[in-house]
Amino acid sequence: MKNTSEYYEKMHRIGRILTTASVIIFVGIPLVVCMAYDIMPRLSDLLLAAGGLMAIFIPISIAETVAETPVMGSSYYLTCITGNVLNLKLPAALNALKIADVEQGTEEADSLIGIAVAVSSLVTMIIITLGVLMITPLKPLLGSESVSTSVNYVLPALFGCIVLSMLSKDVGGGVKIEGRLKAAVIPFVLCLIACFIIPDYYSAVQGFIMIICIPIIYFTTKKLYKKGKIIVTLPSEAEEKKEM
Amino acid sequence: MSFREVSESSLLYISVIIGIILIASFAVYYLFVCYKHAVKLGVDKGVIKNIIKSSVSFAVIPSMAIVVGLVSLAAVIGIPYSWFRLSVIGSVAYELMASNMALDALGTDVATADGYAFGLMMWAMCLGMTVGIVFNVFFVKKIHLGTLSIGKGDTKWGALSQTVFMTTLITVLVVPMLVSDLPTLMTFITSGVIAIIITAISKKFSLNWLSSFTLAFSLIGAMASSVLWVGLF
Repeated sequence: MKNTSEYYEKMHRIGRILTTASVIIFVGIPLVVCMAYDIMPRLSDLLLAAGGLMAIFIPISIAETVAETPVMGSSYYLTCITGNVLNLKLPAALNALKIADVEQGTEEADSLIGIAVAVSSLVTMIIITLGVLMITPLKPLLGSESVSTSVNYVLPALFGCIVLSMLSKDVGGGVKIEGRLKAAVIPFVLCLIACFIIPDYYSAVQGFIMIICIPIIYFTTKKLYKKGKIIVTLPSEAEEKKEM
Repeated sequence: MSFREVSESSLLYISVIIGIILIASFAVYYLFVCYKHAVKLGVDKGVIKNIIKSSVSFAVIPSMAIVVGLVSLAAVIGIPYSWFRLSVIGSVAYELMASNMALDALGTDVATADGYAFGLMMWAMCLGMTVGIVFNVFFVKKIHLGTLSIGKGDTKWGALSQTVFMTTLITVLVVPMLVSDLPTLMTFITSGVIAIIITAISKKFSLNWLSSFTLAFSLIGAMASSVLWVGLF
């Protein structure tokens, strides 16, 4: 227990330091450039340009933090610094858990998610740098109709595969759970309704939808588990059944 | 100074290169720390290698999609700052929105904007997202450790409760893919079908290496199929 706590303490300390250093870099670049060229914006212009954005994006990012942190664990700091959470980091994390077959919420899962997030971040940086170096020759190819069509479908192309792991009884680490998706029925219907009512704003407010859905799934899961409608089999029990 | 003189200046290129190298070094350091801890916990090095290979192979395609966005963003704000923003925290849609809001605030457009407008754009892009991640410094630890402590007295409930967050996330993300339009739905289904086929092949012929590439092959196949679905529907 002591080691577990030590590990998480260490990872959160690293995450906080990296986030602080990254914020300094993010702010430092416009600061250096604006000071060097004497183009520092007036506060009134800045409030006009960024005030609306901050009013929209700060609550959204807070909602996403609450919803995504339990899945991404201590890697959430690096995930946010390097961006592309839904189209890269989340699939990378789920993929890592599937390959390693480890239980969610364990130290093993946390460190393997960290590996997947760091690797996918580095790959993105390398590919974008190559893109910058070859931007002129690549322009005709990247602007072609088939490429521009297919890049609009990255998310369904990723999640079609990922959702299969959610349908499986095996949740990693030898733990098997039957019937856990019953708890997702109400949120599924709520999301459907939201899709029909606010189709254009759904992606903008999905962080808030997640916050609403988490307690619904949580308490429904707990109730169904207590009633025996969701059955959890631990690896030790599976072994015993085999021996019998 | 003109808009282009600032947006394509050597100072901005140098600042961006230093910024990207620093953030990349953070990722390398983080990779090293996590790798060391995973090995210490007894995770097989072969499994870690497979995760690294799989993460590399599948991350290439979504990253190339970001490069497509880079081309359109660079046309508005120049190459260096687009390069930086998309390599780190930013996204094409957000950066374009922020740059438009900055130009609107000054009552100008890209064709007539000056260096001052570019400065304002940089700050608008920076502040909207950066302030959000400052929240992480104060609350991520509390949220993470709080969720880990759920179900401590009951091992079964503990294991089950950790799946709740993943289920929520996937439910909320997947529903719009099922109802938005036919090409999206068909791309989603194609990805799942490819994953099932690859899993079956790797099991039948005991090709363990193949299962590490399930996500990459499903992604490429489904994205390619999207062109067909768009043409058909």
